[in-house]
Amino acid sequence: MKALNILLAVLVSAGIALGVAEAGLRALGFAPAEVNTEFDPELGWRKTPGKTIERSTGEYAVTLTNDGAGLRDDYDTLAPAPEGAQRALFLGDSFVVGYTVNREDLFVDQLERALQAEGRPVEIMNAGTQGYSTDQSLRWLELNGEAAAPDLVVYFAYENDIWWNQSPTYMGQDKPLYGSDGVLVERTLAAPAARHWSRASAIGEAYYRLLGAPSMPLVTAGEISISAELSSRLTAPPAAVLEAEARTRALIAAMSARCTALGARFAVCPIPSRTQIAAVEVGEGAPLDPARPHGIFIEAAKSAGAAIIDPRGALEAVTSDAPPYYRRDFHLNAAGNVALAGSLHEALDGAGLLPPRAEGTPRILPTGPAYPGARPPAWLLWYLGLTAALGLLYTRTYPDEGGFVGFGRVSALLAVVFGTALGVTSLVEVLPPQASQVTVLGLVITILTFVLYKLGDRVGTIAELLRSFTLRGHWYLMPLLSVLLTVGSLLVVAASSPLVAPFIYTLF
Amino acid sequence: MNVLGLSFYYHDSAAALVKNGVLVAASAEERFSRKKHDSGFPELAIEFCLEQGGITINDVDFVVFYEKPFVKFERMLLTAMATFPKSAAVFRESMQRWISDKLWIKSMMSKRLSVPRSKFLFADHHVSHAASSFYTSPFEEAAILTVDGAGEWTTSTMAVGRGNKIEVLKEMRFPHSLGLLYSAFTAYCGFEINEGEYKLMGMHPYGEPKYCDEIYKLLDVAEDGSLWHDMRYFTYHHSTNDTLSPLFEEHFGRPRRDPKHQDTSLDPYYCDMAASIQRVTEEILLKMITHLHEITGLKKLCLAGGVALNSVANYKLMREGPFEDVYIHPAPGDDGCSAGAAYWAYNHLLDQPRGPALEHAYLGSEHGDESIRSFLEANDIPYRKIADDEEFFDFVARTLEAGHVCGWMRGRCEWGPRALGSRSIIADPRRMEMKEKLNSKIKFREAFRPFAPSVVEERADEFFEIPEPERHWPARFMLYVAPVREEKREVLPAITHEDGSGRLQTVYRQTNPAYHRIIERFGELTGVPVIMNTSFNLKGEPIVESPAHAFNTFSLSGMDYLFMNNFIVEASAKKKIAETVFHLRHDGDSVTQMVS
Repeated sequence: MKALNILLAVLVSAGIALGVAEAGLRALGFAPAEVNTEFDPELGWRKTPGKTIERSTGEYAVTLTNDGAGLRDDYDTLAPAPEGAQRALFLGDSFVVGYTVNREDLFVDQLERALQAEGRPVEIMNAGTQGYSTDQSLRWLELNGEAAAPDLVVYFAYENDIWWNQSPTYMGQDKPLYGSDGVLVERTLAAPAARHWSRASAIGEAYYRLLGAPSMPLVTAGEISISAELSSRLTAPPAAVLEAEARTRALIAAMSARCTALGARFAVCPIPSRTQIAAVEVGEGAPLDPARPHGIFIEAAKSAGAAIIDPRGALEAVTSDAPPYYRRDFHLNAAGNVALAGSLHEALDGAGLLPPRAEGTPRILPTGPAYPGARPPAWLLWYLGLTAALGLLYTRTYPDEGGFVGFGRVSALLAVVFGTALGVTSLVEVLPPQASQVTVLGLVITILTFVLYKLGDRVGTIAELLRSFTLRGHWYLMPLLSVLLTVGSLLVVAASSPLVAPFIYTLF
Repeated sequence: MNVLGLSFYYHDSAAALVKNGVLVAASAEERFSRKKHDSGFPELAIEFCLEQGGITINDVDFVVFYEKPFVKFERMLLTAMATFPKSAAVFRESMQRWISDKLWIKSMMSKRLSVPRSKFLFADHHVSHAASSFYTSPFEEAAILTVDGAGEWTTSTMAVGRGNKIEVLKEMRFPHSLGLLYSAFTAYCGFEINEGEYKLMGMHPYGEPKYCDEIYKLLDVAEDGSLWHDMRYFTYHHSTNDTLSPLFEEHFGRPRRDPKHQDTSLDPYYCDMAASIQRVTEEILLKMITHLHEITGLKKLCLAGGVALNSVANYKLMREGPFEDVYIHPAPGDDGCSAGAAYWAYNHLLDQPRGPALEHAYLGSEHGDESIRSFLEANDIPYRKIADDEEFFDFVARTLEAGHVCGWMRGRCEWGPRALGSRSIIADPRRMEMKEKLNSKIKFREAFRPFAPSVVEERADEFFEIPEPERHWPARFMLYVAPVREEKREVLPAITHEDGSGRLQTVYRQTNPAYHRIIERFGELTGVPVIMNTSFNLKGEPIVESPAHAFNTFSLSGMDYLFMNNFIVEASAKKKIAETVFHLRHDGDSVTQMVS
């Protein structure tokens, strides 16, 4: 019985330690990513019909819902458009599926709303899937084109598609591959290994990301090494990149041919990268040209006889007042989606690829969504809730100070805490990605240094304690000790401040 | 070489200074802080010890803490795990204390004392107990028995001391503990743990040991006196506020005594229970020392630990046990561990030679004539002084003979829990009414509580069954309860307890000449060289230390005279003065505090 109790207690203490680590890692952004895709023997992967996931980072929080047809849309099955209506089919990757924006912000839905408001009999089918390169978009069209029966196909290209177009795998996962002649290489795609159970936790995910995840390949040209995804920026690319670019051209040509076979018109919209929009003009002989991938797509579209939609101007126009991209994530934000939708509206209309507006209907430009009333930010609710709870505790613990003073002190302290947290968050968002990482790292180091400074020679005591337990054979208590020492250290640090100590005593 | 010993963060925090092998100063913090059983960092006691030793903290070579916090922390964690999930509450409560304070003792001491970490040493709790007794004893070699509630893991130790070394032979481990067993019955009989044990001891003569067999059913006692508790009956290892399980009460067929009765009533059942646990304790201790004698073959015994405050048992061990001589340190509880830790470091660890035996317990602070006079005059307290000592002693003896109760403050404070004639309330033991008067009007405590006699060593055997009293050092420190001789019981009604015993103090001319002379003079006047002696404090108050404390306690009680050195203050001078605040304590420790 005693052994059972000890076992139980060890398990519980280990559980507590793991729980603390899990919460900490989740706070640091290592929460296991939810997945809304599944293996597809033809496409490599496809969106799982009916699946909904939530994705959030410091920059965005989105809900991704797949419909019954496995699209981020509102279909039950793939079927031709209703009688009298035209169908535009949008193909592409995470930009099209809207991996970082909610649907009301996504350019696909904004454009559809604007067109329908203009009385145009058109609906847009969003067939974008995250991680797809050109070959997968083509394969999707080959497999589902007849069922979808589009009148117009728009392929949204992004620079990283080029590299993967020559690869049989994407980050370790099998995908379709076409030859330089635009013909599918016949082979059986292997289903990925089942996701390891440990990756359901932040601890497992952190381990996977730090040690187990396949790393992005690098391409070297002369003295420059660059991520393979960005390798088409090289002004003197190596043979492998040239091969990828050739295949990309072949794929766009094949896509055009397929559209022709389906009786649909075809357009290509290369989405520029954030670097391309922000970059100063590249000088003669520069080793990297962020606009080069864009040019490859334009050239390929021209060769394939496709209409070309170039949203650069629209995106550059919004750069000065509201950046179209997120600071850290490379995707378009809501403002960028509005600009892209407007650019598409103008280009498609100008190219005559859309049915005309209803008689007497004014031109309606895509705009941002009309939200049903602004909600108070989450931090404000937390602030008020904590002020109420801690204020009550504080005034009950120190009744002599009076309720007003007590609540005042609590709200002031929480204001400092929240202000610091929000300030740091804002700073991180404002700073360039690399600078923000350095800032966060610096902040963590500063906090740890402060804690160590406050602990002083207690650090020696901690080391002595751990050594004592280890030498006495109680190594199995380390998880519990870790938790207790962490809490104890924080208590020591907090209690050393005359401002904070009363709150700590209140809590304990 | 100067070694400072410290004990704190449990109860009775204390400091002691060993200077070149001699215990030159020692005091409990409560004497200065005025908080009964003060467990905080003994800042004031340290200050006193350094001042008394004529050194500064920079002159201290080592500071020794009386136990090993990491090992105790280990015990807390492992015990909590072994009794999980029942221990969740006690774990939470004790961990709050540990992770905020107790774990950082070394850092805290280093900061508070401005002493580098390299000067700190940590002694084992029970080794500190053993050292406190052996190194202050007059024995070159001796068997050592320590018994208390719990140290780190250990609850009892058998050891041998030879020269300047101590070797531990055997130990008993938590939760099996004679001290905790006694505390469990203290709680069962309605008293506070870590506070009311001596009340239980004082209650036992009113009962009969009828329940010994039932008590033994809760235990497995081996021939060597080691215990194995049946933990189904106890909860102190996993409860925050209870030492006994419902099964315990079921076993005895009676619920625990309501604590609100305190000691205002003497229910025969609980008196019998007190007598029974006292008998069981004595029997177990006797087994322990018999075994210790067998395995060591030694003739001398040193006792230490909180259980060694059980002066009834101590006397029986001396009379019935196999050892020729017994020594007990004047502070056998955790306060004495501060001295023990310092001695252990000095003698055992640093291999320094033994110092002299501790002949008296007057190791605390002292206030001279000037200090007393300036206090009295600053507070406008009328007084008179008899400059001639003999004349003064005669006055005191005659005052006692006249039936007056007097406060007596003279010389250095006593080290340990007993008042030994430096800070005492004294009265005529021949008057039966004195017992009630002291209990009800002066000490404000329970009617059944006994009072101790102080007797001149030369005539102790005449009044008490203590032959060759000079051999029995514990009697100097009031650690024996000996039978009052049959024919003297009527002569000494106020100090003769229900069972005819008295907790005597043998007073030596060499170590406390003034107190010895008072008793001697009282004997010359009455034919009885014995006076009543109780500690100079109110119930729940620490024993007084300064003239201010003494005057305040005098004013709040029904005493007739206050003697401070040769100054005399009469009852008409009583008044309230502001600066002698103290904290009365009537409650004991929580169960969590008791075991952590």
